[in-house]
Amino acid sequence: MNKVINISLAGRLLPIDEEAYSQLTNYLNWLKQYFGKEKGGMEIYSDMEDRIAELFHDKLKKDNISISANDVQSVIKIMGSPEQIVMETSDEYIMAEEAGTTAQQQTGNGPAEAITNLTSPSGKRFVRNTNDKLLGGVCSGAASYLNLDVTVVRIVFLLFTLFYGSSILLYLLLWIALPQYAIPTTQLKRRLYRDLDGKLLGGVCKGLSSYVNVSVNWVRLFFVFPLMGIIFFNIINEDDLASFCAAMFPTLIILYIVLWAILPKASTLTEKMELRGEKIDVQNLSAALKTENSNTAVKPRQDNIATILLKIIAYGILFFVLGIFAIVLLSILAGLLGLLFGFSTAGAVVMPFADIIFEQSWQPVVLYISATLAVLIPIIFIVRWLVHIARKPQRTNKWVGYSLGIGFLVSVFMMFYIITDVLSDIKREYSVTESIPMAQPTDTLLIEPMTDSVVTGGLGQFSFVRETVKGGYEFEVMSVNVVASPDSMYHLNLIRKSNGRDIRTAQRYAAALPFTFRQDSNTVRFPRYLSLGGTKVFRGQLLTAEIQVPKGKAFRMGAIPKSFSQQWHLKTGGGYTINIKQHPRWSPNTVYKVEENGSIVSVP
Amino acid sequence: MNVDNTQSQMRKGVLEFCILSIIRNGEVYPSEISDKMKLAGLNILEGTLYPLLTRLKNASLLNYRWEESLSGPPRKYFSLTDEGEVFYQELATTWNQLSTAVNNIINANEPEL
Repeated sequence: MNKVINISLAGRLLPIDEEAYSQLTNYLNWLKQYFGKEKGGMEIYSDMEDRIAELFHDKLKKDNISISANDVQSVIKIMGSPEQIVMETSDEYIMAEEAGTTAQQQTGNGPAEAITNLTSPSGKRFVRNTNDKLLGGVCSGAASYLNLDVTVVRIVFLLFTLFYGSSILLYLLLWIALPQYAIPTTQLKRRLYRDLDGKLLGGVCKGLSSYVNVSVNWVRLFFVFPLMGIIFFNIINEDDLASFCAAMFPTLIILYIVLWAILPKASTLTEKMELRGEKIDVQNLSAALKTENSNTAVKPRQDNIATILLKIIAYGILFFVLGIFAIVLLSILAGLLGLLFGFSTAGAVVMPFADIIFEQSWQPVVLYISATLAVLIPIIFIVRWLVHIARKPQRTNKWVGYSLGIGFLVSVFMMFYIITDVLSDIKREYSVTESIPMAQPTDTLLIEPMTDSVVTGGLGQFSFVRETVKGGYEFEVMSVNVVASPDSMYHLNLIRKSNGRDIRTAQRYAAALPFTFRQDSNTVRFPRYLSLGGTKVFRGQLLTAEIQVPKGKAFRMGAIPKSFSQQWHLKTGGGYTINIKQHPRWSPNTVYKVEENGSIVSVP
Repeated sequence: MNVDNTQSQMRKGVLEFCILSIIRNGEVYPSEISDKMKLAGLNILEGTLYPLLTRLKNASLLNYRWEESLSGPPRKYFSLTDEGEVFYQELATTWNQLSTAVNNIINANEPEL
């Protein structure tokens, strides 16, 4: 039984069965190809198409429900088979036949114009082929010039992009330099296709074997050889060769999958002949047409045991590789999802600090959105792609892909823009030392933190910042250091430090810090938390109280917090770093002594 | 030497002449031409006819106009141009000379066979 399909021929609807359809397409393709070569050829072709449609129409009017293969054959009888048409229409055919050179003649036997200089070896030009192009037709033109398969040239181009994109530059230069020209498709070169007749998996091996004209099994052996090599060389203890095979194996598998993906399948008769490098002329075509038709007639496929075994092995390897691939893909997906989740939690934590990190209130919002998109879009891409391969659908809307791609680029750009903007805010560092008058203590100096009146704690786990009841934030940026005094007096120096976009801003930030300290005869008290004194953002502002104690004197650290002995340091040079510098680690409730040589030691 | 080729070469020369003379007798469409030729005993494939017509038309020996048909798509009705008429006359002269000459030769040869 044959399925009947409706096609439109010369603008009229035509019910036709499948076998007849494939014969008709082959015939029409041949006519188009044959007459397409001459001037006004398309007119001849469309006249003939009209006529064929008319003949079919008459048939349908008579008795037929649909057009059958017999009807097609009888129409071909009226119009003429490819051989007959060539015999009667071409002068060259006869001349070539007389000279006995048909087989060798490369240009085919087109009527009138066979003198396109692209095939004649002398006049071959390097052009961009607009007839078969992906981008600018450079690869296609090069393939025609070098007499190679386009796909091979494209793969080589792709490989060379790995060398710092060198081929991209070359491509652009050639795109600009080469003239464009539509190389007629009839001047066909051998082309690599996947051959689905007698395929095991994707028809890649079969296609390659037809292309290079060796038995399929040799090509299959080539692909499976490393696997056998691993086993064999391990048995005979040739470790080097075994590991070479182990390296080759995945490479070949990947090569197979890549070829499967990029090679078109040879579906039409012409494509199959291109694959085998047969000259597409009448004899070959009609011969192929006959075998093709008889092939389609007897279709039941019988696999022998060897083929079935090979198939099982091939599918086994394929599923194994695809499985690994799927695992890798899924872990990427999981990683991205984790990142997204991390963002949302980090967002909840970081958001309270947005005020003190960003100068503009829109910045954190944009940053958050763009960071989320930068992670979300790849997830969408992967999912879409998975759905795509799972369903094998018609082409999905490419504009969705484009806009997602652009959205991704924009969000990554925005993310980096904002981060860079914020980081450039700590580009310059300013520090100034001012001396603060201090009364000379009469006994051992005691250093204490001020008793704290503010009750609220730090924000979350960051005890470094806290919110005050008056509103605003206070920072744990006060540190205390003790050094040996150059003379026999006690001195107090205050070092104000801040980063900023420029030195002036940094100076302003540093100067704004409000400093208070209290001295109570022998006890000095420093605040633990400081407000930024009218500055909204935190840019590494820091106060260090440096107490100079005369040599030979002792001093005592009271119930000091950890923060008194540490110092933040923000730095944006080659890389952005935030580190904490330690002063000599002061322990609370400890007595220290300044030695004569200026070093400070703790006294038990 | 292939007999098929020689035969088709012989036919080729006269095909154009026959087509032109059919068209000269009145406007016709392609399949009508092939029918008439078949009736006269000269088979022509339509696949050969169409290219010939297009080439003659492109050489401005023929004109055509579209006419709707009842049975199918609109048809091209061909007619001779003035140039075509001149061309035809020349071919006719040659044909007359040739056929007389060829007949004479064949008939002269016959007794010897």
